[in-house]
Amino acid sequence: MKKIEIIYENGPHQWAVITRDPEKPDYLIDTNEYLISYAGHALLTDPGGMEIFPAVFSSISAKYDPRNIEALFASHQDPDIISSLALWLEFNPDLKCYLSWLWASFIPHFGGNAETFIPLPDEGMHIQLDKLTLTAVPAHYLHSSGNFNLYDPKAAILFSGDIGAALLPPGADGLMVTNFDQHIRHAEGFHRRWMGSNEAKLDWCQRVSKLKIDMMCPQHGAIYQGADVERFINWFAELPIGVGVRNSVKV
Amino acid sequence: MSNEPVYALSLESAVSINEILKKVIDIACQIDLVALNAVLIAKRAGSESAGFHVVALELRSFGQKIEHEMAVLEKLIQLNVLHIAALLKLKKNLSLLNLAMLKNDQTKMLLQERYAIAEKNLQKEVDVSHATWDRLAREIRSALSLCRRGAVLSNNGRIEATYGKTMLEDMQFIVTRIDEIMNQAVNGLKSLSETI
Repeated sequence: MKKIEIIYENGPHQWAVITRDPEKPDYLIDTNEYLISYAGHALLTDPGGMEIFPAVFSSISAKYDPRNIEALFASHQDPDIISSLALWLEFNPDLKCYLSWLWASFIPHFGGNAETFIPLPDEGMHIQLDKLTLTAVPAHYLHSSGNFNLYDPKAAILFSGDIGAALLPPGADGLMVTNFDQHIRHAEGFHRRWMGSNEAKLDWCQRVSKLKIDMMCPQHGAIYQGADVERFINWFAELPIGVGVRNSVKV
Repeated sequence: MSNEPVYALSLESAVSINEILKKVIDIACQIDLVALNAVLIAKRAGSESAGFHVVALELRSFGQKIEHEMAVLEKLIQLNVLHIAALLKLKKNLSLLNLAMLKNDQTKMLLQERYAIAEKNLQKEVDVSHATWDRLAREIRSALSLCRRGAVLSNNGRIEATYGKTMLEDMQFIVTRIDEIMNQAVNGLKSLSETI
Protein backbone atom coordinates (compact mmCIF):
# COMPACT_ATOMS: atom_id res chain seq x y z
CA MET A 1 0.00 0.00 0.00
CA LYS A 2 1.12 3.57 -0.67
CA LYS A 3 2.33 5.75 2.21
CA ILE A 4 0.56 8.96 3.14
CA GLU A 5 2.61 11.71 4.77
CA ILE A 6 1.68 15.23 5.82
CA ILE A 7 4.19 17.72 4.36
CA TYR A 8 2.54 20.96 5.49
CA GLU A 9 0.17 21.76 8.33
CA ASN A 10 -1.11 25.09 9.58
CA GLY A 11 -4.42 24.95 11.47
CA PRO A 12 -7.17 23.77 9.11
CA HIS A 13 -4.79 23.82 6.14
CA GLN A 14 -2.83 20.70 5.16
CA TRP A 15 -0.89 19.18 2.30
CA ALA A 16 -0.37 15.41 2.31
CA VAL A 17 1.54 13.31 -0.20
CA ILE A 18 0.51 9.80 -1.19
CA THR A 19 3.60 8.05 -2.48
CA ARG A 20 6.06 5.13 -2.71
CA ASP A 21 4.07 1.94 -3.11
CA PRO A 22 6.33 -1.03 -2.21
CA GLU A 23 3.78 -3.43 -3.75
CA LYS A 24 3.71 -1.59 -7.11
CA PRO A 25 4.86 -3.78 -10.03
CA ASP A 26 8.22 -2.70 -11.55
CA TYR A 27 6.70 -1.95 -14.96
CA LEU A 28 4.54 0.81 -13.45
CA ILE A 29 6.04 4.26 -12.81
CA ASP A 30 5.65 5.43 -9.21
CA THR A 31 3.55 8.55 -8.75
CA ASN A 32 2.98 11.20 -6.09
CA GLU A 33 -0.56 12.34 -5.42
CA TYR A 34 -1.08 15.43 -3.26
CA LEU A 35 -4.15 16.00 -1.12
CA ILE A 36 -4.71 19.65 -0.26
CA SER A 37 -7.25 20.08 2.51
CA TYR A 38 -8.70 23.15 4.13
CA ALA A 39 -11.30 23.01 6.91
CA GLY A 40 -12.70 19.66 5.78
CA HIS A 41 -12.68 20.47 2.04
CA ALA A 42 -10.14 18.66 -0.09
CA LEU A 43 -8.69 18.63 -3.59
CA LEU A 44 -6.55 15.82 -5.01
CA THR A 45 -3.88 16.53 -7.63
CA ASP A 46 -3.18 14.06 -10.45
CA PRO A 47 -5.05 11.14 -8.81
CA GLY A 48 -3.22 8.59 -10.96
CA GLY A 49 -4.11 5.66 -13.15
CA MET A 50 -6.93 3.16 -12.84
CA GLU A 51 -4.48 0.44 -11.82
CA ILE A 52 -3.32 2.29 -8.69
CA PHE A 53 -6.77 3.54 -7.62
CA PRO A 54 -7.15 0.96 -4.77
CA ALA A 55 -3.70 1.85 -3.34
CA VAL A 56 -4.29 5.63 -3.57
CA PHE A 57 -7.84 5.47 -2.21
CA SER A 58 -7.00 3.25 0.76
CA SER A 59 -3.93 5.34 1.69
CA ILE A 60 -6.00 8.51 1.70
CA SER A 61 -8.67 6.77 3.81
CA ALA A 62 -6.07 5.92 6.48
CA LYS A 63 -5.77 9.62 7.42
CA TYR A 64 -8.59 11.53 5.70
CA ASP A 65 -12.25 11.07 4.93
CA PRO A 66 -12.29 10.63 1.13
CA ARG A 67 -15.88 11.93 1.10
CA ASN A 68 -14.36 15.38 1.71
CA ILE A 69 -12.62 15.35 -1.68
CA GLU A 70 -14.56 17.84 -3.78
CA ALA A 71 -12.31 18.20 -6.76
CA LEU A 72 -9.51 16.63 -8.77
CA PHE A 73 -6.83 18.65 -10.50
CA ALA A 74 -5.36 17.09 -13.63
CA SER A 75 -2.10 18.75 -14.65
CA HIS A 76 -2.51 17.21 -18.12
CA GLN A 77 -4.12 14.29 -19.94
CA ASP A 78 -1.76 11.34 -19.48
CA PRO A 79 -3.02 7.96 -18.18
CA ASP A 80 -0.77 8.05 -15.09
CA ILE A 81 -2.39 11.40 -14.27
CA ILE A 82 -6.11 10.87 -14.60
CA SER A 83 -7.16 7.48 -16.00
CA SER A 84 -8.65 6.61 -12.57
CA LEU A 85 -11.26 9.36 -13.09
CA ALA A 86 -14.13 6.93 -13.75
CA LEU A 87 -13.47 5.12 -10.45
CA TRP A 88 -13.34 8.35 -8.46
CA LEU A 89 -16.66 9.29 -10.05
CA GLU A 90 -18.14 5.90 -9.11
CA PHE A 91 -17.34 6.82 -5.52
CA ASN A 92 -18.51 10.43 -5.80
CA PRO A 93 -20.45 11.35 -8.96
CA ASP A 94 -20.47 15.05 -7.94
CA LEU A 95 -16.70 15.35 -8.03
CA LYS A 96 -15.35 18.19 -10.19
CA CYS A 97 -12.24 17.89 -12.32
CA TYR A 98 -10.07 20.91 -13.21
CA LEU A 99 -8.09 20.48 -16.42
CA SER A 100 -6.85 22.43 -19.44
CA TRP A 101 -9.67 23.36 -21.84
CA LEU A 102 -7.54 21.68 -24.49
CA TRP A 103 -8.21 18.25 -23.00
CA ALA A 104 -11.84 18.84 -21.97
CA SER A 105 -13.17 16.59 -24.74
CA PHE A 106 -10.33 14.03 -24.55
CA ILE A 107 -10.31 13.20 -20.84
CA PRO A 108 -14.01 12.17 -20.90
CA HIS A 109 -12.69 9.05 -22.69
CA PHE A 110 -11.60 8.04 -19.16
CA GLY A 111 -15.01 8.93 -17.69
CA GLY A 112 -17.16 11.85 -16.55
CA ASN A 113 -19.75 14.04 -18.25
CA ALA A 114 -20.33 17.71 -19.06
CA GLU A 115 -20.97 18.45 -15.38
CA THR A 116 -17.66 16.93 -14.25
CA PHE A 117 -15.15 19.20 -15.94
CA ILE A 118 -14.07 22.73 -15.16
CA PRO A 119 -11.89 23.76 -18.11
CA LEU A 120 -8.90 25.94 -17.25
CA PRO A 121 -8.21 28.77 -19.71
CA ASP A 122 -4.67 29.00 -21.13
CA GLU A 123 -3.79 31.92 -18.86
CA GLY A 124 -4.77 29.91 -15.73
CA MET A 125 -7.27 30.81 -13.02
CA HIS A 126 -7.93 30.82 -9.30
CA ILE A 127 -9.46 27.71 -7.71
CA GLN A 128 -11.35 28.13 -4.45
CA LEU A 129 -11.16 25.49 -1.74
CA ASP A 130 -13.33 26.86 1.04
CA LYS A 131 -11.42 30.00 2.14
CA LEU A 132 -8.20 28.91 0.47
CA THR A 133 -7.39 30.33 -2.95
CA LEU A 134 -5.19 28.18 -5.17
CA THR A 135 -3.87 29.24 -8.58
CA ALA A 136 -3.64 27.11 -11.70
CA VAL A 137 -0.29 28.24 -13.17
CA PRO A 138 0.21 27.73 -16.93
CA ALA A 139 3.03 25.32 -17.82
CA HIS A 140 2.07 24.55 -21.41
CA TYR A 141 4.40 22.30 -23.42
CA LEU A 142 6.03 21.19 -20.15
CA HIS A 143 5.40 18.55 -21.18
CA SER A 144 1.84 18.52 -22.51
CA SER A 145 0.50 21.18 -24.88
CA GLY A 146 -2.22 21.96 -22.30
CA ASN A 147 -0.42 21.74 -18.97
CA PHE A 148 -0.87 23.36 -15.54
CA ASN A 149 0.85 23.55 -12.15
CA LEU A 150 -1.06 24.35 -8.97
CA TYR A 151 0.22 27.04 -6.62
CA ASP A 152 -0.80 27.49 -2.99
CA PRO A 153 0.47 30.97 -1.96
CA LYS A 154 -0.48 30.51 1.69
CA ALA A 155 1.56 27.31 2.09
CA ALA A 156 4.14 28.51 -0.47
CA ILE A 157 3.91 25.13 -2.25
CA LEU A 158 3.93 24.57 -5.99
CA PHE A 159 2.59 21.31 -7.36
CA SER A 160 4.70 21.16 -10.50
CA GLY A 161 3.30 18.08 -12.28
CA ASP A 162 6.02 16.53 -14.45
CA ILE A 163 8.38 19.49 -14.01
CA GLY A 164 11.00 18.47 -11.49
CA ALA A 165 10.08 14.80 -11.87
CA ALA A 166 12.83 12.23 -11.40
CA LEU A 167 12.99 8.50 -12.03
CA LEU A 168 14.64 7.41 -8.81
CA PRO A 169 16.38 4.05 -8.44
CA PRO A 170 15.75 1.95 -5.31
CA GLY A 171 17.84 3.26 -2.44
CA ALA A 172 17.79 6.84 -3.76
CA ASP A 173 14.05 7.29 -3.49
CA GLY A 174 13.68 9.42 -0.36
CA LEU A 175 10.65 11.69 -0.21
CA MET A 176 12.70 14.91 -0.06
CA VAL A 177 15.68 15.96 -2.17
CA THR A 178 18.63 15.94 0.23
CA ASN A 179 21.53 16.18 -2.22
CA PHE A 180 20.57 18.26 -5.25
CA ASP A 181 23.58 17.35 -7.41
CA GLN A 182 23.08 13.63 -6.93
CA HIS A 183 19.32 13.87 -7.32
CA ILE A 184 19.26 15.94 -10.50
CA ARG A 185 21.09 13.21 -12.45
CA HIS A 186 17.91 11.14 -12.15
CA ALA A 187 15.83 14.07 -13.49
CA GLU A 188 17.98 15.07 -16.44
CA GLY A 189 17.01 12.44 -19.02
CA PHE A 190 13.35 12.85 -18.15
CA HIS A 191 13.43 16.61 -18.72
CA ARG A 192 15.55 16.48 -21.87
CA ARG A 193 13.11 14.13 -23.55
CA TRP A 194 9.70 14.99 -22.13
CA MET A 195 9.89 18.77 -22.07
CA GLY A 196 9.13 19.97 -25.59
CA SER A 197 9.82 23.68 -25.84
CA ASN A 198 12.81 25.75 -24.81
CA GLU A 199 10.79 28.96 -25.14
CA ALA A 200 7.99 27.64 -22.92
CA LYS A 201 10.59 26.45 -20.40
CA LEU A 202 12.29 29.87 -20.13
CA ASP A 203 8.91 31.58 -19.82
CA TRP A 204 7.93 29.17 -17.00
CA CYS A 205 11.28 29.68 -15.21
CA GLN A 206 10.86 33.44 -15.39
CA ARG A 207 7.27 33.41 -14.03
CA VAL A 208 7.80 30.79 -11.35
CA SER A 209 11.02 32.38 -10.02
CA LYS A 210 8.88 35.36 -8.94
CA LEU A 211 6.68 33.17 -6.71
CA LYS A 212 7.49 32.45 -3.07
CA ILE A 213 8.03 28.68 -3.08
CA ASP A 214 9.14 26.73 -0.02
CA MET A 215 8.36 23.35 -1.58
CA MET A 216 8.14 22.26 -5.21
CA CYS A 217 6.23 19.01 -5.48
CA PRO A 218 6.50 16.95 -8.68
CA GLN A 219 4.26 14.07 -9.71
CA HIS A 220 7.20 11.62 -9.82
CA GLY A 221 10.30 11.52 -7.64
CA ALA A 222 11.27 13.70 -4.68
CA ILE A 223 10.17 17.09 -3.32
CA TYR A 224 12.49 20.12 -3.62
CA GLN A 225 12.66 22.36 -0.56
CA GLY A 226 14.16 25.75 0.30
CA ALA A 227 17.19 26.73 -1.78
CA ASP A 228 16.84 23.58 -3.93
CA VAL A 229 13.73 25.12 -5.53
CA GLU A 230 15.76 28.00 -6.96
CA ARG A 231 18.59 25.59 -7.81
CA PHE A 232 16.13 23.54 -9.82
CA ILE A 233 14.71 26.55 -11.69
CA ASN A 234 18.25 27.72 -12.61
CA TRP A 235 19.29 24.20 -13.63
CA PHE A 236 16.16 23.80 -15.77
CA ALA A 237 16.65 27.21 -17.44
CA GLU A 238 20.13 26.07 -18.59
CA LEU A 239 19.14 22.55 -19.67
CA PRO A 240 18.92 21.89 -23.43
CA ILE A 241 15.53 20.25 -24.00
CA GLY A 242 12.93 19.25 -26.56
CA VAL A 243 13.22 19.32 -30.33
CA GLY A 244 16.74 20.80 -30.15
CA VAL A 245 18.07 17.69 -28.41
CA ARG A 246 19.26 15.29 -31.11
CA ASN A 247 22.29 13.49 -29.78
CA SER A 248 20.22 10.93 -27.84
CA VAL A 249 18.05 10.01 -30.80
CA LYS A 250 19.32 6.71 -32.19
CA VAL A 251 16.98 6.10 -35.14
CA MET B 1 -17.26 -19.56 -2.71
CA SER B 2 -20.16 -17.51 -1.38
CA ASN B 3 -23.00 -16.86 -3.82
CA GLU B 4 -24.99 -14.55 -1.63
CA PRO B 5 -23.08 -11.54 -0.41
CA VAL B 6 -23.46 -11.18 3.33
CA TYR B 7 -22.55 -7.50 3.30
CA ALA B 8 -23.06 -4.66 0.89
CA LEU B 9 -19.47 -4.49 -0.31
CA SER B 10 -19.67 -0.85 -1.28
CA LEU B 11 -16.89 1.68 -0.96
CA GLU B 12 -19.35 4.10 0.67
CA SER B 13 -20.12 1.70 3.53
CA ALA B 14 -16.44 0.76 3.93
CA VAL B 15 -15.55 4.47 4.18
CA SER B 16 -18.36 5.13 6.72
CA ILE B 17 -17.18 2.24 8.92
CA ASN B 18 -13.59 3.38 8.51
CA GLU B 19 -14.43 6.91 9.72
CA ILE B 20 -16.28 5.66 12.85
CA LEU B 21 -13.46 3.24 13.64
CA LYS B 22 -10.80 5.94 13.25
CA LYS B 23 -12.61 7.98 15.93
CA VAL B 24 -12.91 4.94 18.23
CA ILE B 25 -9.19 4.17 17.77
CA ASP B 26 -8.22 7.79 18.54
CA ILE B 27 -10.25 7.85 21.72
CA ALA B 28 -9.39 4.33 22.93
CA CYS B 29 -5.67 4.93 22.51
CA GLN B 30 -5.89 7.70 25.14
CA ILE B 31 -6.52 5.05 27.81
CA ASP B 32 -2.86 4.15 28.17
CA LEU B 33 -1.87 7.75 28.96
CA VAL B 34 -4.73 8.23 31.44
CA ALA B 35 -3.84 4.88 33.07
CA LEU B 36 -0.23 6.06 33.43
CA ASN B 37 -1.53 9.16 35.25
CA ALA B 38 -3.59 6.87 37.50
CA VAL B 39 -0.41 4.91 38.44
CA LEU B 40 1.46 8.16 39.24
CA ILE B 41 -1.40 9.49 41.37
CA ALA B 42 -1.67 6.18 43.23
CA LYS B 43 2.09 6.31 43.96
CA ARG B 44 1.77 9.86 45.29
CA ALA B 45 -1.18 8.82 47.46
CA GLY B 46 0.98 6.19 49.16
CA SER B 47 0.00 3.09 51.09
CA GLU B 48 -3.47 4.30 52.05
CA SER B 49 -4.62 3.96 48.45
CA ALA B 50 -3.18 0.50 47.80
CA GLY B 51 -6.48 -0.61 46.24
CA PHE B 52 -6.43 2.25 43.72
CA HIS B 53 -2.81 1.41 42.91
CA VAL B 54 -3.78 -2.17 42.04
CA VAL B 55 -6.62 -0.95 39.82
CA ALA B 56 -4.30 1.63 38.19
CA LEU B 57 -1.77 -1.11 37.34
CA GLU B 58 -4.58 -3.22 35.89
CA LEU B 59 -5.70 -0.22 33.84
CA ARG B 60 -2.15 0.22 32.53
CA SER B 61 -1.98 -3.34 31.32
CA PHE B 62 -5.53 -2.96 29.94
CA GLY B 63 -4.43 0.21 28.07
CA GLN B 64 -1.66 -1.76 26.37
CA LYS B 65 -4.11 -4.50 25.37
CA ILE B 66 -6.45 -1.86 23.94
CA GLU B 67 -3.59 -0.29 21.93
CA HIS B 68 -2.75 -3.68 20.47
CA GLU B 69 -6.40 -4.37 19.63
CA MET B 70 -6.75 -0.95 17.99
CA ALA B 71 -3.59 -1.52 15.91
CA VAL B 72 -5.14 -4.77 14.63
CA LEU B 73 -8.39 -2.93 13.79
CA GLU B 74 -6.48 -0.13 12.04
CA LYS B 75 -4.67 -2.61 9.76
CA LEU B 76 -7.90 -4.46 9.03
CA ILE B 77 -9.92 -1.41 8.05
CA GLN B 78 -7.16 -0.28 5.69
CA LEU B 79 -7.10 -3.73 4.14
CA ASN B 80 -10.88 -3.69 3.91
CA VAL B 81 -10.94 -0.37 2.03
CA LEU B 82 -8.11 -1.58 -0.24
CA HIS B 83 -10.00 -4.75 -1.23
CA ILE B 84 -13.27 -2.96 -1.81
CA ALA B 85 -11.56 -0.28 -3.93
CA ALA B 86 -9.98 -3.12 -5.95
CA LEU B 87 -13.45 -4.63 -6.28
CA LEU B 88 -14.75 -1.35 -7.73
CA LYS B 89 -12.00 -1.46 -10.37
CA LEU B 90 -12.82 -5.06 -11.35
CA LYS B 91 -16.55 -4.31 -11.49
CA LYS B 92 -15.86 -1.37 -13.79
CA ASN B 93 -13.81 -3.59 -16.12
CA LEU B 94 -16.55 -6.19 -16.15
CA SER B 95 -19.29 -3.66 -16.87
CA LEU B 96 -17.28 -2.27 -19.83
CA LEU B 97 -16.83 -5.78 -21.25
CA ASN B 98 -20.53 -6.38 -20.75
CA LEU B 99 -21.44 -3.19 -22.60
CA ALA B 100 -19.25 -4.24 -25.52
CA MET B 101 -20.83 -7.72 -25.57
CA LEU B 102 -24.30 -6.22 -25.76
CA LYS B 103 -23.44 -4.52 -29.08
CA ASN B 104 -23.82 -7.63 -31.24
CA ASP B 105 -23.56 -11.44 -31.24
CA GLN B 106 -20.14 -11.52 -32.87
CA THR B 107 -18.64 -9.27 -30.20
CA LYS B 108 -20.36 -11.35 -27.55
CA MET B 109 -18.80 -14.50 -28.94
CA LEU B 110 -15.35 -12.92 -29.16
CA LEU B 111 -15.42 -11.53 -25.66
CA GLN B 112 -17.23 -14.19 -23.69
CA GLU B 113 -14.09 -16.11 -22.73
CA ARG B 114 -12.45 -12.89 -21.54
CA TYR B 115 -15.64 -12.00 -19.69
CA ALA B 116 -15.69 -15.35 -17.89
CA ILE B 117 -12.09 -14.79 -16.71
CA ALA B 118 -12.91 -11.26 -15.53
CA GLU B 119 -15.99 -12.58 -13.72
CA LYS B 120 -13.89 -15.25 -12.01
CA ASN B 121 -11.34 -12.63 -10.90
CA LEU B 122 -14.15 -10.48 -9.56
CA GLN B 123 -15.61 -13.39 -7.60
CA LYS B 124 -12.17 -14.13 -6.13
CA GLU B 125 -11.88 -10.53 -4.93
CA VAL B 126 -15.47 -10.67 -3.58
CA ASP B 127 -14.50 -13.73 -1.53
CA VAL B 128 -11.35 -12.05 -0.22
CA SER B 129 -13.36 -8.92 0.64
CA HIS B 130 -15.98 -10.98 2.50
CA ALA B 131 -13.24 -12.77 4.45
CA THR B 132 -11.63 -9.43 5.41
CA TRP B 133 -15.04 -8.02 6.34
CA ASP B 134 -15.79 -11.12 8.47
CA ARG B 135 -12.47 -10.76 10.27
CA LEU B 136 -13.14 -7.07 10.83
CA ALA B 137 -16.57 -7.87 12.29
CA ARG B 138 -15.00 -10.44 14.65
CA GLU B 139 -12.28 -8.01 15.77
CA ILE B 140 -14.88 -5.28 16.39
CA ARG B 141 -16.84 -7.66 18.63
CA SER B 142 -13.65 -8.63 20.45
CA ALA B 143 -12.70 -4.94 20.92
CA LEU B 144 -16.21 -4.25 22.22
CA SER B 145 -15.96 -7.00 24.78
CA LEU B 146 -12.51 -5.72 25.84
CA CYS B 147 -13.83 -2.15 26.22
CA ARG B 148 -16.75 -3.44 28.33
CA ARG B 149 -14.21 -5.08 30.65
CA GLY B 150 -12.47 -1.70 30.82
CA ALA B 151 -15.73 -0.10 31.96
CA VAL B 152 -15.91 -2.62 34.83
CA LEU B 153 -12.30 -1.82 35.73
CA SER B 154 -13.00 1.91 35.84
CA ASN B 155 -15.96 1.23 38.13
CA ASN B 156 -13.58 -0.62 40.51
CA GLY B 157 -11.33 2.42 40.30
CA ARG B 158 -14.23 4.67 41.31
CA ILE B 159 -14.85 2.54 44.44
CA GLU B 160 -11.15 2.51 45.39
CA ALA B 161 -10.88 6.27 44.79
CA THR B 162 -13.22 6.89 47.71
CA TYR B 163 -10.28 5.88 49.97
CA GLY B 164 -8.10 8.44 48.28
CA LYS B 165 -8.25 11.04 51.10
CA THR B 166 -6.19 14.07 49.94
CA MET B 167 -5.90 12.63 46.43
CA LEU B 168 -9.62 11.92 46.17
CA GLU B 169 -10.29 14.69 43.65
CA ASP B 170 -7.41 13.68 41.34
CA MET B 171 -8.45 10.03 41.47
CA GLN B 172 -12.07 10.85 40.73
CA PHE B 173 -10.99 13.01 37.79
CA ILE B 174 -8.95 10.14 36.35
CA VAL B 175 -11.75 7.62 36.83
CA THR B 176 -14.30 9.98 35.23
CA ARG B 177 -11.99 10.43 32.21
CA ILE B 178 -11.58 6.65 31.87
CA ASP B 179 -15.37 6.28 32.09
CA GLU B 180 -15.83 8.85 29.32
CA ILE B 181 -13.28 7.14 27.08
CA MET B 182 -14.75 3.68 27.66
CA ASN B 183 -18.31 4.90 27.08
CA GLN B 184 -17.40 6.58 23.81
CA ALA B 185 -15.41 3.55 22.62
CA VAL B 186 -18.18 1.11 23.67
CA ASN B 187 -20.89 3.21 21.97
CA GLY B 188 -18.90 3.50 18.73
CA LEU B 189 -18.03 -0.21 18.64
CA LYS B 190 -21.58 -1.22 19.61
CA SER B 191 -23.13 0.74 16.76
CA LEU B 192 -20.56 -0.76 14.38
CA SER B 193 -21.12 -4.33 15.56
CA GLU B 194 -24.85 -3.84 14.97
CA THR B 195 -24.29 -2.40 11.47
CA ILE B 196 -21.53 -4.64 10.13
